[in-house]
Amino acid sequence: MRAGLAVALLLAVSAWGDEPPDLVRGGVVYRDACESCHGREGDGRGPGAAALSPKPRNFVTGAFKFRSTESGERPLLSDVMRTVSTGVRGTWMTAFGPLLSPTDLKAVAGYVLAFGPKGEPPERVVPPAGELRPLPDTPAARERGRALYQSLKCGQCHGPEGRGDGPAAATAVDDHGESTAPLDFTVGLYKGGSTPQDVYRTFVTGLDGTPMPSYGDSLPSEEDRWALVHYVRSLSRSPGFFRWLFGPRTPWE
Amino acid sequence: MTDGSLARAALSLTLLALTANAEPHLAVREGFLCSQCHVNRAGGGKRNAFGANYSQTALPLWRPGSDTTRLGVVSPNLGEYVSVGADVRVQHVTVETVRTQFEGEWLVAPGGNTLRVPQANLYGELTVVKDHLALYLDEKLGPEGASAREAMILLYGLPYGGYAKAGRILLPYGLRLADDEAFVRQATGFNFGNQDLGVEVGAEPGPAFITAALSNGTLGGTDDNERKQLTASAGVKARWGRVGASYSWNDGTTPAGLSVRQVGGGFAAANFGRLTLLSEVDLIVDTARPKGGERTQSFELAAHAEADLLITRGVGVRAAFGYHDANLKVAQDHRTRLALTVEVFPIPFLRVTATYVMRDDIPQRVQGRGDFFVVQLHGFL
Repeated sequence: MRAGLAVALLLAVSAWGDEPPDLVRGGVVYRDACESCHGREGDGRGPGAAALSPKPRNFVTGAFKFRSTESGERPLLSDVMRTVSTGVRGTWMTAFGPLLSPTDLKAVAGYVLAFGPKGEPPERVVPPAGELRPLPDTPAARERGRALYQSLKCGQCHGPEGRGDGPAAATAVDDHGESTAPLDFTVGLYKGGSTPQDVYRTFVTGLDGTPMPSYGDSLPSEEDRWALVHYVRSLSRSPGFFRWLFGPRTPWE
Repeated sequence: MTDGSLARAALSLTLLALTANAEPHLAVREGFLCSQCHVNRAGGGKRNAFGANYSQTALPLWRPGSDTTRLGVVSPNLGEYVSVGADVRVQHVTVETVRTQFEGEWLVAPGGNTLRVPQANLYGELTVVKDHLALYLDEKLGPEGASAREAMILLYGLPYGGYAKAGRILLPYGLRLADDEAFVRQATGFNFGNQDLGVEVGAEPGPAFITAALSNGTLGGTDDNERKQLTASAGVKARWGRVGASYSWNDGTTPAGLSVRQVGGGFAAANFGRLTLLSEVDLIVDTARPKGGERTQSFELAAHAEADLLITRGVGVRAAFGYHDANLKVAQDHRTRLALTVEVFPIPFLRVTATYVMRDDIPQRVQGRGDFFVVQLHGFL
């Protein structure tokens, strides 16, 4: 395993071009920040993993939820950096952005990617958030989005009103075989981020390892993609007192 | 008793108070067992890497740093085999002066205030066989001299979450509450000031947890290798909370006569989002029969109920109520205690608490009636 990792690190360094992440430093940061959940070997079986739900990601399989790449592809380094920095809401994957310097973020993201399958760098299919310009959020766009929500059968999992209570919700499982609840859009704890760009990326790339597929091919038009983004985000409700008190909470937020 | 000695008694009682060591409300809030964050499977003491991460991310109100400066992730691990930790608490205690009239006489417990360090502990963990065997030391540096609070060989990573400990250990009983002076900790004797020499085995199969310890016994007298103490605790845990029961048989019989203390009780905890509830009820039965004398039995009851509310990350409030009846056969001899706490984790590894404790006791125990106020700084790793 150690030898394999070393080879992987060398391959990874070669694939990252001019400014590769410092993988030695990445290993140190990984040990301090990630190992207790994701495990020494990156297999998602750290000493603290058993009690967590959802389970920590297994980096060895290469299936990452949050990517700018095609479904089934490895993520980009910047994708992993974004996840490490912002965390995954509603889970124990903490936002390490406030703690780690950009250099350390890059280093640990490189180290994480080195656990997974190797090969040519994957192709980006969603532009970086800074380059992704949302189309206007208008009543007409939301109405179009509502129609798409129905025609694409999003309600099968997420429910007709977006409450995460669709007929398929009860049987949804992730790649660990564990029950996974479809997102309740009214609560709005978007795991991959709640900005329009984040939601857009999730539609287009899907969430590998979960039942959430990619809709990149089903939604080729930019107008349709943004219409669905605006409709889904419009379902979010501001929390009342009782939801604040008793509702779902992200521990590190 | 003179005014001065009463004052010292009241202060010494108070100064023991609120020496928090474990935080079961945090475990219940997050749906974890104690072992999620602590090396010691029964809770308290050194935190593991997950606990250290939790302390830096889920607890603090502010995480210092700017866009260009980050603190990095602080780890208790000094390498692959050595890990350390610490707890240091500094308190300022203000005690109310109490005057009570009893049988025509005025009893006075003068108040006062003082600053002190109720706890300074260093922890060390040496991993001998990765994921299976470690040497663990919880060394109390103060107050009142250094001593090992816990020193044990820890075997872990066994099937069904099994583990075994041997050495000087804290016995596994009830909820390991933060406040050592809660009546359920004080009256039962299962607190952080009362260790024993023995072995403990436990397992965490699925949602269940079970643990049992056989030790020399702490009822008094020297160990004769015949009389022992058996302590056991079991329960089930779910995301919403936990329920369980504990029992202890402590045989302190000597040639002078029979002396057995049994402690049994139940505990329950529940989490509702930001609101966490904890409770424990214990019955203590002391049986004695001096050589040639009559058999006597006394019954003692202690109860605890606590509500914790998380306002926002790093800020919480707590109300804890305690009830203690030292002899169930005697009417109206109970005492109560209500503690209201504001708890803030301003930055990683630092906690500030302010606690006001209202106490009520029978008139002749005037030293147990005064309210007190404690401000505590707690630095930890």
